[in-house]
Amino acid sequence: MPRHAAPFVFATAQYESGDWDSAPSLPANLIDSVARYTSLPVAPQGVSVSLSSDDALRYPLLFLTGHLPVRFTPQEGRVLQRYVQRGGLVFIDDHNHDIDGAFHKTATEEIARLVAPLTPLPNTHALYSAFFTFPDGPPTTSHELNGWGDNLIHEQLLAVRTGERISVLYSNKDYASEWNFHPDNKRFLGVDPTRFGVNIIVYALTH
Amino acid sequence: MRSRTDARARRAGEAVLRALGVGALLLALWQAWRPARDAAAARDARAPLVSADSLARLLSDPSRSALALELAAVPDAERRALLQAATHAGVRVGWRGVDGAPLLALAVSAESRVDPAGGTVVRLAAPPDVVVELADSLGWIDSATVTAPGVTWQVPGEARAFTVRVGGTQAHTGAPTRITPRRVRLLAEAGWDARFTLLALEEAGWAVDGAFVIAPRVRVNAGRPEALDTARYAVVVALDSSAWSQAPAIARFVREGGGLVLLPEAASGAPAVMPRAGPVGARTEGVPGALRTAAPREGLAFRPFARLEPGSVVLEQSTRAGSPPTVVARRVDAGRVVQVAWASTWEWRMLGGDASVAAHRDWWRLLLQRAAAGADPVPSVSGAWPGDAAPLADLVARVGMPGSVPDGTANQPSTPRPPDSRLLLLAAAALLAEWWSRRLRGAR
Repeated sequence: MPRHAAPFVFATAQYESGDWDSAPSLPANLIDSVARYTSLPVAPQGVSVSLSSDDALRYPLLFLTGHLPVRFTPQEGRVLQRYVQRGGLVFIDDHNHDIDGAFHKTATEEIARLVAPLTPLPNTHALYSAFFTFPDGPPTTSHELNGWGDNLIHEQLLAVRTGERISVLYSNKDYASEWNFHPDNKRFLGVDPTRFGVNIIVYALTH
Repeated sequence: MRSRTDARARRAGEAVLRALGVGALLLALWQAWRPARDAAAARDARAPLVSADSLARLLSDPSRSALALELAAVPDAERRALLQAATHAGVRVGWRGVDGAPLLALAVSAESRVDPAGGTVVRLAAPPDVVVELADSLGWIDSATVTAPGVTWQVPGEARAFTVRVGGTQAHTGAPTRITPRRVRLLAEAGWDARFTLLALEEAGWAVDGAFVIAPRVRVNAGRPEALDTARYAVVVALDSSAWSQAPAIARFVREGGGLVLLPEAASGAPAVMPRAGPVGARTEGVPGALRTAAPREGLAFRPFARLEPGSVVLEQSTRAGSPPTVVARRVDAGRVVQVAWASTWEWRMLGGDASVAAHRDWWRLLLQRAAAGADPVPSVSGAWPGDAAPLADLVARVGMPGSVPDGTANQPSTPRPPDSRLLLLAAAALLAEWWSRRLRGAR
């Protein structure tokens, strides 16, 4: 059957205040998983796009992570607001997996200021069955279990939603660390941890 | 001598009474059958029609047999009904415009939009360059200058009655029946087109069922997709080649009265059974920067129609050279196909100007309205057909064509009027007195 849909491009958001490129292997790993598990057309390489540029609007799914405090510039704030109002989905992951760390406090404040307050996402949400099924909600990361960070397992993700549709998805489970490895190393893992990343991408493309 | 003189006087009196009775009888008969022309009719000929009350007064004169009207505007429904009643009663009614000028011909219709948000489509046919006003029971809504082939208003809100005014002439519609549309079935691969089409349709109020191809034999559902059936779905939206596997079902759905919105990537190379408005050509990219202009769709990728199937109707055209058609509709048995030449319409919403979200949503709303079948074509007229929906046509249907103004010298009315009761009473009294006098004197 002929393909007509333009390939999906994984986009990482650049922002001025923090270390936006703290998980450099993550895009390639998720691109590999999308190609591995689905027949979706996917661009072989991701892109980095400045949040202060309208070019960000070309990529309706944006990944944003970091360790450091987040303060969006006025232009970044305007683009982020426009992005969400038009139907884009921003996935933010706290690379610290802290409950009260600098990234978490500032990022959630910024989202509340620019978009809306984040609220817990029910573990029965369509996100958890968009492709693979996660009956218990967001999968636990090894970093939540190994003593680093706050030593807590975060039972739920946070989100800004319009109705049931997610506009901003926020995780402090540190998927940025969990998925930041070379795709070839998946063969050494019993369960591929990036499967939940496939769910996020499929959800964004279909909801 | 006296008795002979009395007898002669009595016979003379009887003769006078007999003559009086017969004369009164003849006069009554003449009045009942005399020609229609009379002084009152002549005086009122060409008198302008002012109001229904004055018309009723004019027509209450039993001696009136003709009425000539010079009209500045089409009379309202009550006056038209009075004129028709007068013609049925034998009064010859003629009319024309002031100084022979033609009266304004209007025809208006209203039908509910096939849209979850409701609303009414009001269409008006009128001579070009006329300024018309649209109003409802709460007052003025809009005005417009008529251009060929007419004026169409998309009026949001509940279905209701409307009035169109031009000078003193008014046309009215009844309130159309509210339509509750069925669901929409979206056929697409997972992708930004699927996401943003779904988003626009749901924001417009449509209940959408989608099944998006993710992997071989794997589809992700939105809503509760069911088999295509006009009882469940109003419209199928086919975005790409993932619809081809259902082409026979789509063709049957359309033939049975369903709507199909076909995007170019679904039309190009589709199986022959897929209903189309025409084959499409090669893809060309959009005009750089146009997404933020007044013609934002020119910034979208475009696959022009190679040709149009017979019976196709062009609904939208590009501003590019040659004005190629961009949205074309075609009837297929009981259903409709609306085929679009623009591709990757999601870019309009994300990359367009400040109003792009609403504009993208409204454009999709209009596409679905055009594809979805409405209610049964029962005209929403006010009064009997053509009635208030076309007041001039109604006047002609009731009274006749203009120009036939009675000149007041016409012949008898078609039916006799009742004789004057006073004359009949006089005749009876005279003849009875004459008979009584003759019997008293012993004559027969």
